[in-house]
Amino acid sequence: MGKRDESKLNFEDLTDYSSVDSDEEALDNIFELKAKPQKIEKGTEEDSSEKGKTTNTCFYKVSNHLELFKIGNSFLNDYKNGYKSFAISSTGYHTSQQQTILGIASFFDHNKEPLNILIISDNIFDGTYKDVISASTLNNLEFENDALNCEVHSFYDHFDFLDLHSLSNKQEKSEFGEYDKVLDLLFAGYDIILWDVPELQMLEKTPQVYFPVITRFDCLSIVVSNNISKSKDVERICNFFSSYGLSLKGLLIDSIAVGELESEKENKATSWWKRLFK
Amino acid sequence: MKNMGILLDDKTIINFSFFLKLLKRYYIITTLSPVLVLIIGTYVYKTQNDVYLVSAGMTTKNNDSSEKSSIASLLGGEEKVFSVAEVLSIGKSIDFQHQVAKEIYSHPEFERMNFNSLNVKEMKTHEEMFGGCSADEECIYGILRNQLSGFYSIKRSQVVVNKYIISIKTLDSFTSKEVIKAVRKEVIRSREETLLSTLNDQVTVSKKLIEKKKLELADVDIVSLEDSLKSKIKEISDVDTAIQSYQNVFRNQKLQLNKMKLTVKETNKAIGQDTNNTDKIKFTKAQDLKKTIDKLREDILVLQAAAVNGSDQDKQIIKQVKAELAVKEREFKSLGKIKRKYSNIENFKDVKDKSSDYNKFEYNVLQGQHTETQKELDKLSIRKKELEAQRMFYVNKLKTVKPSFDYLKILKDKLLQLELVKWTIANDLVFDKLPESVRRFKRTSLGKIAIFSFMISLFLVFFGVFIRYMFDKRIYDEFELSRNFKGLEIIGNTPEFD
Repeated sequence: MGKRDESKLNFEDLTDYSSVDSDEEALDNIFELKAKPQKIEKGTEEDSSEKGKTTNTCFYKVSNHLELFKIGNSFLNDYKNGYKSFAISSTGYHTSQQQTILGIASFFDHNKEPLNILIISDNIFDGTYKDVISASTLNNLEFENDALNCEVHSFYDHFDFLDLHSLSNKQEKSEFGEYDKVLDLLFAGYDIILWDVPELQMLEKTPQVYFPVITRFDCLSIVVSNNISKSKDVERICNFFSSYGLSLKGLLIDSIAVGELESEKENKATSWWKRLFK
Repeated sequence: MKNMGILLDDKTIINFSFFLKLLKRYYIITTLSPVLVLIIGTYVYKTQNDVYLVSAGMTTKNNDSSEKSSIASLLGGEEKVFSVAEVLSIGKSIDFQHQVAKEIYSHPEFERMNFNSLNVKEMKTHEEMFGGCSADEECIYGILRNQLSGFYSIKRSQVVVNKYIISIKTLDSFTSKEVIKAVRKEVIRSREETLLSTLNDQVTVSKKLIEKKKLELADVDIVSLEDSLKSKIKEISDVDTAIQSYQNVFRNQKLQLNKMKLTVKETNKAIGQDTNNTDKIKFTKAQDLKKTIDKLREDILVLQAAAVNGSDQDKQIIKQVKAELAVKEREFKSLGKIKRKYSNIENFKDVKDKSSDYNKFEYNVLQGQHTETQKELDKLSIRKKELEAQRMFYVNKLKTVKPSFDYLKILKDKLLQLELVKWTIANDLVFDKLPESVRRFKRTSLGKIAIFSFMISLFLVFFGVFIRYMFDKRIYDEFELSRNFKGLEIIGNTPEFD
């Protein structure tokens, strides 16, 4: 379980293990790990990939397993029907969006069949991914053309993170057609690609950057937060992506705790009389 | 705008469970609206003026006399019955209100009364209300009229037939009592005036009709007509009596005449009757035989007397005489009827012959009498016919003029009746005794305000919640999300990390 098929990928471990201890402490605060993070060489005792006993701790950190299974199965069915590029957007609450992506990635990783999972986000160093990234190893994804090489953060054998900004930089710097090649190679190398879609404003601001990406989405799911998200925002997102011909998979409802936190922050920002008529 | 279909339900039309959810969601509106309405309702109730109500019952006497109706119909008008519409419109006429205003203004404690409207917020004093009139009475009456129209109401009683309730509502107890007294007085006076006016109209109409009829009947002397008719009837009666007696005489004469005629006829017949010779001979022979028989009987008697100590010879002689007597008797017997018949006929003929002239005389006399009687009867019949014709003339004449005279008579009776009623006019309105106590209440009762407030707050809550919901763009739960975005699948809830 969780074993990746590395035949499709060539990794160069770029992780700096000098600060393992500090990373371990940070991780202990957030995750319960069964093994210390260390360079794993193939064939060693620690290499459990052959034995298939790697544990996806992120999966077990999820409190509402049933919901995760429900949504995970929905995505799994789509994968079985040929979808691999899943875009997740939200009406502005990025934390729940990232958590959703992480949860779905954990579900796919928990699958019997080993899958290469890539999470592409424009905010991997902040937010929900931060702690996971800090425990990940930095690898260079090599392609035929060095210019197309990408740096990914591999969280053990579970899933990889790719910074969308690095991808968009390539788009700016690379020649015509090379950007598409990168995407093609990524699609070829990974079984599941989860896109942490940036805010709509960003997409509308730099469409030339995101257009090639949007066209690679197989389907889009939108995270909606109870009591906070507005219908018009959801409609805006739907209309935006529908105009690209993208099929909308469905809606994911944000959990209450997160919604409350967000609403509290929002309440502090608004006047008392506005809150009265909220 | 949101999808309104979410508010509707297939079974209950309105999705009440969703509405309840909305009520909880927008709890501020749900709680504020009733509180606000309650505050306003309380304020409205508290700021209302106290209203003082006095009511008095009034019963109308609507007698539907057929005699009055028939007389009224003769006059061509209608009997003045106090209809429901008239009762309910009492007090609406300007004249009535003016009179009441006058009555109230003349009250010694007029200054003490409160004539502010029932829904006034700020009370006006007398100075403020009537000061502008500068003691002009008509101006004051005008103001009072306007105010009084709002104080006064009359309704039909739901319990008692022909009963009505007059109610006076003012902002002061004393004013209510005094106004109802004035109203009551004016109602009675007004009604009496109406009745009197009606009677005067009827009297006028009656007089006109009487004059008209008198003119029509001026040339007609009904008395003389009636007398003439009576005399004709008497004459006819006398003629009938005479005819009757003449007819009796005529009948008797007829009978006698017939008898006399027969007598004469039979007498002549009897006289002219011839007897048979053979019968004559036989009659003669019978007479002789009779004589002989009588003689023989005498002889027998003598012989028997002489032959007391008679000898056989005497006896033999008596026997021979008896035998002869028997022979003669037998012979006589065989001639008996013829003898009588012959004798009677002869005697009868003698008698009749003697009376024949007398009978003829009598017959002629009687016949003359009969003829005279017949003539008299004819005369009497003719006379009777004439008298009958005259009688019919008078009868027809009376037929044509009698109804008019009867009508005239009725009119005169009616006029007399009306004159009497005028002087003894009685009001058909009966007022109950005025109550001592005055009822005090708020114009709009607490219950009404409470109910109205409840309805308004319900409406405001639902309307406010509805409007708030329609303009609230946020998404609250999966149910709304699914209804607002029907084309999109609700995949599930996002994962929560511990």
